[in-house]
Amino acid sequence: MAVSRFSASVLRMSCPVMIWAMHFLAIYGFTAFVCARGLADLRWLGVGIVPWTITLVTLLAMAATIAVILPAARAARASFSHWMAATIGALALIAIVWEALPVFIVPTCD
Amino acid sequence: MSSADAVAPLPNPLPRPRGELDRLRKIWDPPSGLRFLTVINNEYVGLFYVGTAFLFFLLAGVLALIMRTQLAVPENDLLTPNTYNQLFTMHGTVMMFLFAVPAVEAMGILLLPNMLGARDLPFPRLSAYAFWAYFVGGLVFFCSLFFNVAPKGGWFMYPPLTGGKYSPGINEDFWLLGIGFIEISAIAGAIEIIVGVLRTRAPGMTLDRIPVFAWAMLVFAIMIVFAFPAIILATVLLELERAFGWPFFDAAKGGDPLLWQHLFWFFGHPEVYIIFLPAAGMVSMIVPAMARTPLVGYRLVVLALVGTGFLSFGLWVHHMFATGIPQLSLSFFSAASMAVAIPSGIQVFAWIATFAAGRVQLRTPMLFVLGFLFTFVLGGLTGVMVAAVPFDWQAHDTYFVVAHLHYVLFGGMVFPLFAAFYYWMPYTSRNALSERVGRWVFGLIFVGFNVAFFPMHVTGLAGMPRRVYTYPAGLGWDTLNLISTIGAFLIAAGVLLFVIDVARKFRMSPEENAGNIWNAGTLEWLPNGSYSNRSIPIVTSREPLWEQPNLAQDVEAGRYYLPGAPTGRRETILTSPVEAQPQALLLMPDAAWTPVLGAVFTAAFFMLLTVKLVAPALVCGVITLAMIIWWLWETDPGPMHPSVDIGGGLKLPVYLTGPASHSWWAMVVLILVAASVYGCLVFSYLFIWTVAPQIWTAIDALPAPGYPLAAAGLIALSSVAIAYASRALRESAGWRLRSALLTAIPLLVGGLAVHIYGLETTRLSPVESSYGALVYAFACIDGFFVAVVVIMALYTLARSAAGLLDRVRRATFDNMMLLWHYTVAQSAVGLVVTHAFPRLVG
Amino acid sequence: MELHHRIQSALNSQGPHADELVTLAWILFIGGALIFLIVVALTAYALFAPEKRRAWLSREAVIIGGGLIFPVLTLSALLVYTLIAAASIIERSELAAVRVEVIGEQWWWRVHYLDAQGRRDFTTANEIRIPAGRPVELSLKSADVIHSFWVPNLAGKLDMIPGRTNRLRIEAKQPGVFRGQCAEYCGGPHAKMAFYVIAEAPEHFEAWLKSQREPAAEAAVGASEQGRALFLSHCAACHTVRGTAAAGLRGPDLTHVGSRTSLAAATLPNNAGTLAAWIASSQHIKPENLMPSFDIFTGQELRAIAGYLEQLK
Repeated sequence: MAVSRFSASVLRMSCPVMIWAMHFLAIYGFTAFVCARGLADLRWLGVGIVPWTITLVTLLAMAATIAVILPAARAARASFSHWMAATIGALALIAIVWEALPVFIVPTCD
Repeated sequence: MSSADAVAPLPNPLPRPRGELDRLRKIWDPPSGLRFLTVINNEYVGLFYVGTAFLFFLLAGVLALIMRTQLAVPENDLLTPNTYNQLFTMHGTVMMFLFAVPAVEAMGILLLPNMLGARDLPFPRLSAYAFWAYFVGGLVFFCSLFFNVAPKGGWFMYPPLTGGKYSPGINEDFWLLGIGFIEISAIAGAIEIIVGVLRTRAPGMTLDRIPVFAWAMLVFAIMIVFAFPAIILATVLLELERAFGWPFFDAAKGGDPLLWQHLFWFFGHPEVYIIFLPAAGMVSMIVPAMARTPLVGYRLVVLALVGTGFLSFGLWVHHMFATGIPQLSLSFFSAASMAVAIPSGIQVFAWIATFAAGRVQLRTPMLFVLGFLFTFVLGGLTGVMVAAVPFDWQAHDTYFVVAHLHYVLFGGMVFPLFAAFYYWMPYTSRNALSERVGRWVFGLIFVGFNVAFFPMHVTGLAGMPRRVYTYPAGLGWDTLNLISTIGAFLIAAGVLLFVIDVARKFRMSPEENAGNIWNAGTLEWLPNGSYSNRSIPIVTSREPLWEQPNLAQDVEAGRYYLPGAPTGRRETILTSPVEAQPQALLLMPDAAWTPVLGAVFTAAFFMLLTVKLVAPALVCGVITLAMIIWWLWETDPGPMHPSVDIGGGLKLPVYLTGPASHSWWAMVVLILVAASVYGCLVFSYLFIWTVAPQIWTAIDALPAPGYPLAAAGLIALSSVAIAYASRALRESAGWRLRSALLTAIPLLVGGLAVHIYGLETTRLSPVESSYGALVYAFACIDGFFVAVVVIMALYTLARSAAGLLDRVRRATFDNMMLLWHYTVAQSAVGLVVTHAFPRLVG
Repeated sequence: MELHHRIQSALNSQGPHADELVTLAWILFIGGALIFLIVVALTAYALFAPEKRRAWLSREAVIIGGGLIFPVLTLSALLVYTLIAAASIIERSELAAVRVEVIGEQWWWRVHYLDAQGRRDFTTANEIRIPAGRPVELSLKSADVIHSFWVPNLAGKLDMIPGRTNRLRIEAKQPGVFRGQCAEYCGGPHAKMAFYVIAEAPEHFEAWLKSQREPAAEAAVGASEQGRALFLSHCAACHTVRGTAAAGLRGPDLTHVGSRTSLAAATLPNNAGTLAAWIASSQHIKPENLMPSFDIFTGQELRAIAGYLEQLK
């Protein structure tokens, strides 16, 4: 019983971390692949595939992170692991947003 | 837990039985005479470790003094480029691998069990093994300097410079094989710390009551689990390239030098936070004691430690801003590098708030804490500067970065370490260090450090690159370099003064230490014996010595849990990970020669391979294996002891079967390490495929699909056999178990053999292209794991034959089972990546 | 070449990109210094102010305000600013006036000037001349290990990695001489792998291009003739002098070595004395470099060879 409570706590606290990591891997991996293979000029509705993909993945990651933060925040007053999950989530959210910002300012493969 | 507990009776009544304390002492006292070298008590191993790490700090510091002497004036001819290049490579390598990580790990070994109320770390012989491998291997590695064969490719070892063509000697092999035992030490330490912090705490020490240093070490250990595998894989790949010509990093054959950089820095960036976080944790222990008030913002500080830990994995390309990687990709890492500054800011303000809440005494530890704050904040700010990509294009690889890295590493780790030396000296020694001398030590080091390194910010922007053995006169760098050299010698003077004071005052004695002279609040300051605490306390707050009156006396009198040694062996309490409720008694082995000898032969194995004496190396490898098997055979000797009364009406079993067992947890951590190594290999494969797709074109270079399919089938069947064996063991360790094991082994080995045979039927060559090299690398790593797990299976068979395995005492089998299933899963992933993926992408 | 303290300084910006980098550097430095002073001041206040006056500083809200909110605000702004600056620096829509291919070697720089179609026009070494006021595009490659091209007065650095071509734009606002250095440790005498970028008024630059395209002039009679003969018999295996039989590719092209400001990758000034010293004892001047010391010549022979090389302008 103690082991599964622990697993639940660990999972709860590491969810935002895993979302952040997958978002980072996705945006970096996709951009690196597109630039290495010279596919940056592929566009849809006038916008390149890299900005599209990064925006989409970022919105998904933000939604997932918020979905973790909100319930955890409600239980945060009483439970340490819920408080940790909510605040780690907030930190991850800031990082996710900052990491996506460049796509609006910097050209894709130069 | 609340005031009700203060009124409730303590677990064990007085008076304690006669002889109980003496028996406890006898079981825990370290061996005497020559056998003292086999000691495994964490206080002693921790001290050996810290002492050795400090020795390497001094040695690498001397290297720096020699370097600074060469650079004091332009066009100096004190050193040849060959010597200088070895010196700067060794300075960096020794500082990072032989000083910094071991030093903070050592503080963990020294302090954690006592801080957590445990009697020792969960695997004490493993700590001893890790220490001695590090001690012997590290010293031999350092001595390569005296034979003019020290590595000279920089501590970061970039190929192609460090490949066989441009570094034909054994210098770089020393680095690659030499830090192998450091990697072992770090992983061993990580396992100990994770299991120790999560499973061996004083009852009542819930997760939000553990000392901040314990949180820092937990994050440190988890970071090691995910970061060190990258360097383990990178060193294996580079050594394969150097020794056998497998071209992972050779552009002419489809490899890429950037692959090394990605692997190295994926390790290298978390590495510096691995070094910093424990230091920050120590500061968070020292500040409340000096301010005489609890840490303000405990939860925020824990958040900051965890946040730094995970965000630091997203920074690594900021060491590669000048490589020509596209700007958008670089920007992700620039953003992440700024994000990681936030948790550091949280910690700094938490310490400031704690100062404000308390009445700070400016004793020597506090002086070093202030020195740390000043230096680390400055270094962190220059870090934000170099996180800006365009600024880094000027600052990268110049003395500006040398300044930055020393401000954050020396400031962020060395200053806290000196604070820790002064603060915890009374915990390990009969005498504290001198306050008066301490002020001089601090003054000389602090002033010397800023005189040495602040000018380097200017020197770098004035155009001086790094890693240069000399520079021309007249470029405006002459005076700046001279000032830096003077500063370096000031630091040395301060350190020398410290060493003299230590020689005068330090008298190793964990049992009769100087005591709690700071009147601090955490458990390591309880009265200490070789057995740590006489009894294991119940904890109801973060600063138990402040909040729980009479705790020290009651613990010492034996009124809390486990005041003796009921099984006659070394024991501590195994507790649940979140609520710290007692679950079992953890029985630990005592000292033996096998871990020490195993360590010496491990170091010998790596060193003999380096100088290409392969046969003697293999002999040492076999002896190492024998030592380890003998050592393991002695643990879990049985017979099963009945449940034990530890007091307060609690009867605990002495053995836990299955997922609650501490060895299961250790195995899970080890599997995470292995999975990370394999993940890095998968990354390497996909990376090379991305940058060099042309060498994947020949699909008929792959074996017919029958081979990987047959291989997969065979290894899957071996897992089935092991699962059957596991079920059989629920009844008895008899012939059904043994025949299942004897079936599983050939199935697994057969699967591997079919896989490799299939590769051999093709034209694929590991020497001709990076693609071939990668495919064979997968097979090699699979082979390594198959060998390990088969040895474990044979060992399990031997235990079963000797009657040492049964349905309750089955940890040996369970550990092997976990690694077996992992090996099968890993090999399956490898087969999919190397055989299915190329067919899918065409 | 007279060295002075601004010739290799990133703070002495002589080109538009370098200007932007200096501006960025000052903003970062001033911002960082301010934040540092605030932290020091707060620490001092927390330690030394009277207990009642510092109570506000001990609240958790201060940790969140100072440690979380303040960094998020300032770093968000900083991030956006630095991204915009980076985008501006790497912008290369304007057509480059000259294209040069630079190949890093242990421990010197092989320089090929390219024509408008990107084919190699002529080859030189260790010195790059550019027209002032116009952008120049460099294609950076490596022949062996990783090097890095850095001329701080004009631009940030960019690595030269085997198997890749990296492109760097440099532009000097005015004519001048700028020193650069290899900025990625490449073993051995990495410290002595430097170069000069010389910006000239466009007419002078065109004249220089024309003269560089020409093969070496015929040697004058006398000592130069002996020097030329010795050169062809001992040096042609590694060096090229266009217009003679010397076509070696292992070492720098010496067709117009006499017109360069320095020798041995900006290690020595260029005159007959240093030429002779380099030939006779290069291992002493730049240990481990790939040219052996030719201590087989008599003093008179050395002077002859040096005299021959000196007039290859």
